[in-house]
Parts: sequence; C-alpha cells; structure tokens
Amino acid sequence: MKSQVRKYKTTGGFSTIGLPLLAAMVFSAAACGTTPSSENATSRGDQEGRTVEGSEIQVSLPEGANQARMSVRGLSCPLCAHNVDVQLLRMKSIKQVEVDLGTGLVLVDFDPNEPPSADALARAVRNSGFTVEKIEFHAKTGVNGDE
Amino acid sequence: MNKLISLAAVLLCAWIVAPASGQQATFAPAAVQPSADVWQFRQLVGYTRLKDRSADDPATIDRWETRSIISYGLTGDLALVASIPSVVRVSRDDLSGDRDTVGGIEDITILGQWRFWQDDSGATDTTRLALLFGAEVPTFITPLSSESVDPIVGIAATHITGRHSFNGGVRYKLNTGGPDKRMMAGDGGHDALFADVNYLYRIAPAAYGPDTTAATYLVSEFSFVYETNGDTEGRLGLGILYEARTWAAEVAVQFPVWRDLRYRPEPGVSIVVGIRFLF
Repeated sequence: MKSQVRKYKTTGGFSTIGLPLLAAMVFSAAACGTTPSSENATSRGDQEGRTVEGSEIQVSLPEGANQARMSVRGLSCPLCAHNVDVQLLRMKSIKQVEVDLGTGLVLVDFDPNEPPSADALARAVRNSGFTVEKIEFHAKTGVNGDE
Repeated sequence: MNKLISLAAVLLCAWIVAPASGQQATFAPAAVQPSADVWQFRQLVGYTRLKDRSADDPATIDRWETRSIISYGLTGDLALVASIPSVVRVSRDDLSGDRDTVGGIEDITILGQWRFWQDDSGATDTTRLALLFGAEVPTFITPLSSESVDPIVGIAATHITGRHSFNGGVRYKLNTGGPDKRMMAGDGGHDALFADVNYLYRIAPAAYGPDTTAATYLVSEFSFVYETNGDTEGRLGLGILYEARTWAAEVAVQFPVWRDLRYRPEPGVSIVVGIRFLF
C-alpha cells in the first residue's frame, strides 16, 4: 500500500440517505419544541457554595437534628445526580443520601453528634456541580423518618 | 491467525475503564463533567468502512477502534480528560486484492474542561458552557501517529429542559506538523475545525420521581468538520443512551450526509457501542 499523498476524485455532495435523515431530524427537533423555564433565578452565590439569590439556608440546628433537607437545582439526569451522593457521602458524619430527581429534594441523614454545617453541605453540592436553593435541618423520628 | 490475535489484543488492551458524562451524546463533547475528585470512565468500540477512491490505488479500508476516555474532576468546575484510541486498520487493494493490516495506539488527546458559566433553573433544568483546551500528543507509532503535538481549543454548551437536552460545540485543532498522512478528519497536516450539535430526548421515564434510578434517551447528532486543505464532511448520528445512577450504555450509528474530500478516504457508515462508569 502506497503511503505518499495522493489525489482523490472530488465526491462532494449529499448522500442519498443522509439528506432525508438530516431533514427528518431537523423537523422532528423543531416539532418537539422546548419547555420554557418557569424561573429565571441566577446561580451565582457566595464563595462557600453556589446558591440561588434569595435562597434559604438554615444556619442553626434544632436540638437532635439528624437530617438535612436540601432543595437542589440542575441535577440533570440520574448519572449526573450521582455526583451529589459521592460528594455528600465523603463528609465525615453523613450516613445516607436520597435524591429525588423530580423535585430536586436531597435528604441527608447524619450523625446528630457530629452535624455538618450548612456551609459544608452547600460546598459539597457546589463541588458536585449543582446549585443549592434551600437547606433545612430536622430531627427525623420514627421508623420511616417522619417527624 | 496472527492478525486475528493482534486485533483481539488491541481490543482487549483498550478495554480499560472509560469515562462518561450524563446526557452526553456519543460523538460530541458536552458541558458536563465529573465533580471534584471523581473519576469517570468511558469505553467506546466502533467500526467504520472507508473507501479510497484514488485513481491509481483504490482500496477498501475496514477500521476498528476502541477509545478509552478517562475524566477526572479537579474541582467542581474543572476536569481533565484523556482520550486514548486504539485502532486496527485492514486495507484491501481493490485492484490487486492485496491486504495490509496496521494496528496500535493512535495519538492521545488530553483536554482540560472548564465550566465557566452555569444557570440551574429547575430541579433538572440547566444551561452550561465549558471551555475546552489541550492538545493531541503523539505516540510515534508508525504509521498511525501524526508525530506532532497539536493544540486544541474549543467550547461546549449544554441546555437541558424537561425531557429535552441540546448540546453543541466547536473545536479547532492546530496541526503543527508531522507526516502528511491522512485517514480520518484532522489526522493530517492541516488544521481542522469541528462543529457538533446534538439533541437528546428522554423517552423514559416521562417524569422523574423519587424512585427514578435510570433514564433512556434517543440521540441525534450532526457533526461537521472543515480542514484547511479544503476537505469538508458532515455526518449524522442516531443512537440510544441508557443511563443508570452509576453507569450508562450507548449504541449509535453515523451516516455521511455531506462530503467534499480530496485528500483522504471517504468514511462510510460507522457503528459505535459504549459503556460509561462513574466512580
């Protein structure tokens, strides 16, 4: 097989199968349309973590608090959301993380003797690539964790 | 028999973990990346048949590639991505019937991906922009290597809203030299501009909920390349992506839509399967 540069015949043009497929893709994508966002909140926040302007971060812990409930934005997809699990479970006192992709609710169970700070939780979510809107601490009780 | 063993060896050697990002199409980058101190691994295996239509040396080329892509999150916004392609190429002279087999690791691409803008507007809705920067470094494996360090710069965008995901990107590869060998776009001695757009539609589930552990997407992509020697090519990709919490699997085919190629063989239909893991 020769290895030197060789000239090829010009073969410009659309292939017989590619053009109809491309047209179908363009028209179907246009027909699907997009769902307009319901909010226009920014995602820029303080240096400790990405938060939404006007977000609610509860800084004081009620007595016996062992669960944090966070409202997180931008979770995107199941694989993406797993980044949240990874970052939170690396924190020392975190026992369990549950992520609801439908609402963005992230439940974090922790050791009440070593509660994480709101800043640390926000930072973990920031490091996972998402935005924290709200953090609340609760004392989870009962078998199913109901208050 | 030796060639079969070589093929198997290349494919097995390349079967190392390969990085993956969610809602990322098969052939193009997106503004998604692993989080801080997280590894992502993605392994792609593909086949393309090319036609060399030169008047004096026409040939049919079967090209198998396994590509291992390893990503690591340096911070929440900055990731490092290494792409390692292994190739086996069998060329058959259409006139004489002679066959020639070449195999080995092609040049390795190392990119930084910096997500510099992000707007998370809903539980799963987001818009993101990322800067891509790095280079293709040579392996000096003849004749697969360009034997030159070729800088790459680009930008990728992702917009996810509801069941729809749109990604797009542009990359420019500056070829600094090396032998003027050409097989695939951007492999030769001329600069190349790559532009991609793709659309993913989540076919299941209709809505995310607390029990959601996986999602399935239909993927459509259009990839365009322009080389400064005048070669241009546009390709359409269609595929399916299944994504769970810690892994994903994909299959896609790619068709030629437009091409004006004077300096390299014409790639035909490509078939790619892949798997992704997140650690």
